[in-house]
This record gives sequence, C-alpha cells and structure tokens, in this order.
Amino acid sequence: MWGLALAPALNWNDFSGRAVLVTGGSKGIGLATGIAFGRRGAHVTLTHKWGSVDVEAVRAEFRKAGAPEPDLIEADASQDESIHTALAAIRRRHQALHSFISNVAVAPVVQSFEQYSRRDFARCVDYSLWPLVSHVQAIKKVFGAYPRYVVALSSQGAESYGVNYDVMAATKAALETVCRYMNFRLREFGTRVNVLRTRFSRTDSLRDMFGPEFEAFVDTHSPGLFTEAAEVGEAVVGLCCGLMDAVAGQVVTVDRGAGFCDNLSRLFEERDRLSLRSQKGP
Amino acid sequence: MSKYPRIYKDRVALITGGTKGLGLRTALVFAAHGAQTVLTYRWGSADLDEVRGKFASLGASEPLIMAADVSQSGDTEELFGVVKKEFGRLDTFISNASNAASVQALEDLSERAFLKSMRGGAWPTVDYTLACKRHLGRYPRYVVVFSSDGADRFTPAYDFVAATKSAAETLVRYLAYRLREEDFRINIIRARAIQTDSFTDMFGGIFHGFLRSLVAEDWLVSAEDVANAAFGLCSGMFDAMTGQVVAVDRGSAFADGISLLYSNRESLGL
Repeated sequence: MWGLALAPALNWNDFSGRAVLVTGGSKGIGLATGIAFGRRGAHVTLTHKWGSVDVEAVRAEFRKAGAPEPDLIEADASQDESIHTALAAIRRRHQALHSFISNVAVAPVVQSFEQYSRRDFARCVDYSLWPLVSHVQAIKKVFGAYPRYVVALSSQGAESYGVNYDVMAATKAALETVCRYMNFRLREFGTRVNVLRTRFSRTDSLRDMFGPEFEAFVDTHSPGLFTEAAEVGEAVVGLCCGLMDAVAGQVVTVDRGAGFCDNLSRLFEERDRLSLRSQKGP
Repeated sequence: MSKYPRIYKDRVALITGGTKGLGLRTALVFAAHGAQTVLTYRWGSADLDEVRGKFASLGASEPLIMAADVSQSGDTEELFGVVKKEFGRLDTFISNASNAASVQALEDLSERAFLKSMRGGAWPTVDYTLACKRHLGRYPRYVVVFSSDGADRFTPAYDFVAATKSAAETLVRYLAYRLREEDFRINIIRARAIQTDSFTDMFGGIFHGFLRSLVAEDWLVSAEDVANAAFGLCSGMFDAMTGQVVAVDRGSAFADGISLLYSNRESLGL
C-alpha cells in the first residue's frame, strides 16, 4: 500500500523517451541544462540564434555524458513562426513535450542612465521575457497540451545590483511575476511553472554583461561566489523530475548561498584572509 | 523490493518526529531509496510495530527508532551516541520535530512559553547539526528543515510557532554561511496546511473542512508532496542550493486571499 502511494516519484531519475526543449541552449547554462536532461535519457532540443555554434562540439558533449543525440535548431525566440517551426520538428518525433526550459535572454549593456532606451527595453522583453509566454502558448497549439514542467531562468539581478544590469534586471523581475501568474493560470492543466535564479556563473553572458575583468576580480576579492552551470542544470532537472511537484509558482535560488553573504559585512569579516586593508580613520 | 533508484544505499538519514505524519512519510521515501533510517519520537503514541511494518513492506532496512525529545540536549547526546555506535555516520538530517506552544489568546503570551518554544522549535536544528559533528566527526551532507508559511503570513494560534520558524530560517542562512566550505548544505521547506495529526492538534480538526469548502482538494499540500521535495533536496540535484527557503505549497500561498475568493465567487456561492 505504501509502495503504491510513493509511486509518482518512482521514475524520477529516468527521462527516457521524453522530449525537452531548452531555448538559448547552445552554450552556458542552457547547454549544461540540456546535458543534465540528456544524461537521464531525455531527447533534448536546443534552440539558438546568434553566434556560430559548433554543432559537433555540442554533440560530442552529449555523447560524453552518455546522452542521446540532441537536436540543435536555429530559431529566433521572438518570432512566432520560428518558434512554431522548431516545435513542429519536435512534434514529428514526440506526442508530448515534457519540459520546457526558457533560458534565452538578450540584454542591453547599460552603463549610465542616459543609456536607458525604450527600444532596448522592449527588445529585452521580446527576447528575454516574452519567449516564456509565446513558447508555452505555441506548445499548446502544436502538441494539444501544455508541457508538464516549465522552468524559466532568472538571476538575482532582479533583486540586487548587478553591473550594467538595469534593463535585464527589470525584465527578470517581470519574468518572475509572470511565472507566478502563469502557474496560477495553468495549474488546472497540471503544469508547474517555476523560476530558477542563480547569481554568477562563468558564462559568456556574464562576460558580455559585466565585462571581461569581472570574473578575475571576483576570484581575487570574493572567491567562492560562482555557481557552476552544471549545478544549475541539475537543479532545473530537479524541478522537472517529479519529486518537486508541489513546488509551483516559486522562485528557487541556486547560488551556493552566495546571495546571502555577497556584501560588505562579509568582506569585513573576512578582510584578513582576503587581504582587504582598510584606510586609516580620520 | 523497491524499484526506486537506490541512491541512499549504505547511507543514513535521521528524521526527528519520524514515527508519524510528515516525518514518517519522509522517512519512507528515504528508506525506499535504500537509506538506513533513524526515527525519533516524543509523544509515544505511534504503534512502533506498525511503523516497522511499513518499512518492511517496502523491503527497506528496519529503522532505528528512539525516544528523544528535541528540546532536551541530554536526549540529543544519547541519540547521537547510539547512531555512532550502530552506523558510524549520518548523511542526512531532516529537522521535522518542533515543540512550540500554541497561543489561543493574549494571556498565552508569556516569556516562559516563548523561550521554551524557541528552545523546542528553533534550536533543535542547530543542536543536532553540531552534535553530528561532535559525535561523528563531520557534518551531515544534507540538512532539511521543515517550516511553514506561518513565518510570513497569519496562521491561527501560531504566534510562537511562527516566531520559532522565522528564527530557524535565519539561523539556517547563517549556518549555510558558517559551514560553506564543508560538504554541507542546509535548506528549509515551507509547507502549509498539511493534513497530519499535528495539524489536527493545532487547528482542532475543523480547519481542513473549512478550507475544503473554499478551495479544491488539489490546493491542499499532502505529506507526500513535502516528503518527496525533502528527498529531492537531498538527491544530489540541488547540491548548489544552500541557505534557501523553498515553498512546497502547490503555489497556493501566492493565490491565497480575498482576490481568489472573488474570482471564484459564483462557484463558491459567495
């Protein structure tokens, strides 16, 4: 009797035969997430738009992880037609889409208030927030049902200062609110929508936004603040594996605890170890 | 035999208040994945043979069951002494048991009851974590603390319970910082309105029926929901998560309010 009652979690570590879509999936956290699903047998489709993607290198990483070969599809996440084409390709092989991971983001680097621009803001929303909505709507059209799990990637920039992050931060904050409402709207269909927030990962996006010297600066003055992309990927799978089914409409932070202690008080506490000297008082 | 991936084979999981309700359900999930479980209890009302029978029917190892009041440091010491002797290790600690006084009226607010509640509600997580290091030479790899959204939002009679949960949540963040260089992570699960004995004790058994008249059954969190999530946090997939509060509530806290009732007023006949 108890065995039966525990049954929903029985296959939690096995994604064989399940279709998973990760947008912005050709590198960084998107790629790591795809591999985390693939390692458990999922058939993963990665969409990407910009930059030359070394398809063979991505496939090799999946092979190394013992994962089924992924599909890489070039798609513009802001264009409904493009989304539809990508989904139709998945539909040819699968009756249902199990998990949708909304990772794609394109953000303007904002260095001053003068650089705030309505156009940049709208574009950031088009590429970093709206794809969450448009993909889920399109999935319903193409598959006749919503995915069981939706996870959107966000960042603590939504809550605390990040370098040049103004517009992206506002967009991520909106994304988090949309997720809560989407979860409310989709709960009757058995769909769970959650946000996974991280802080710093060693990705191209971080370098593009914060500049090329940021990583080395953090390593010098505040080591231990980085979370590995692979760790984030594992947590995304965790939210989609069945064990966390009552986690719905939540913002879950996976940052090795960095957000709590990334402040001046901690630098003061660790000043000797970090070789941070204070100026003499007056 | 259970068909679950036996990722907890040769590992030991301790669940306080593990012989009933949410604690028992959590212990069974760990056991189904191969864990040796250690269950503590205080009230003594659980039929221990029946508890053992549940583990046996899963094909799981027989749990070690010990009486230990989480408010009594002497009991903690004795418990960890036995864990060391029997198993020599502890991989996961689920801080479930909590003794805090319920507050029915303003007169129940007393300093003595408050301090006693803090000892029984907030301190056990720290006490057990430190005892683990003292007796077994290292911290557990995973600690999960059960809290509730009473820490943030009104819950009847919950004044002291909520205060202990808030304090526990803050202590957890600091523990995560202090032990950040150890192979250690500690997180909190915030559930709400689970139908268990302690829920019935606290709210007199009529609250659940009241809730059911206003929201669908699937809004209510089950012990199984929370047990599975606790296991998920200790499964290896969330190893980069520490010092966090995770709501395991099916999204219900977000929607809980008069706006929801207004949206559904016709079907509810309000």
